[in-house]
Amino acid sequence: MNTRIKELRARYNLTQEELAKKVGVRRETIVFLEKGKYNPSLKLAHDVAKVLETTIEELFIFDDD
Amino acid sequence: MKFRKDRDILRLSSGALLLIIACGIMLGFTPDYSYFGIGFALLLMGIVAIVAIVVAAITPEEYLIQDERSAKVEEKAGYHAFCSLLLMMALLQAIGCIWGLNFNFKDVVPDLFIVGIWSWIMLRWYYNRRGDAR
Repeated sequence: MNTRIKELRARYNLTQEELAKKVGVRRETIVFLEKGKYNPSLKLAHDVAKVLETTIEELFIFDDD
Repeated sequence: MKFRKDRDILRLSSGALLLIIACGIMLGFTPDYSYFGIGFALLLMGIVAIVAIVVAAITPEEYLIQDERSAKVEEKAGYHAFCSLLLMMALLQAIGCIWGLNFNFKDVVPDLFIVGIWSWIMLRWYYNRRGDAR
């Protein structure tokens, strides 16, 4: 699984810490999400997508897509 | 190093201080040391609590947030630590039966406790590093 979190975060000039604060998780969780090493819950995926003004489908890219 | 002074830290610190004061009263006002055991236990609890509070107060707040990932990691580590403890007990029982050792579980409870705590700590560290995406 790949994500576009890093790219979109840079577009909105957000640091990992700021994004983590906005969605109410630890910075480590954002690091793991960006590396594609963590499967978030639907709620967290939705929250991150909302902060980055995108959709879940655009944010998370699965290898079989 | 920033020392946080929020309400939770202050509340817990006053609780720990109360424990130490209670210990002082117990040990100071009972000349025959009849409450020595309880007093000593309270003192120890107070000291451990103060050390834990100091560690929590100097840890940045973001590391203390219990988010879904940390909750998942702890749950998984706890489950696997419990499984390893059960496996260890089953192995000990089997060894005791095969070699005919007169085995008493009461004698190994402290060792099992240490194995359980260590498994949990190590597994938590491992799952925290590894991530869970396949």
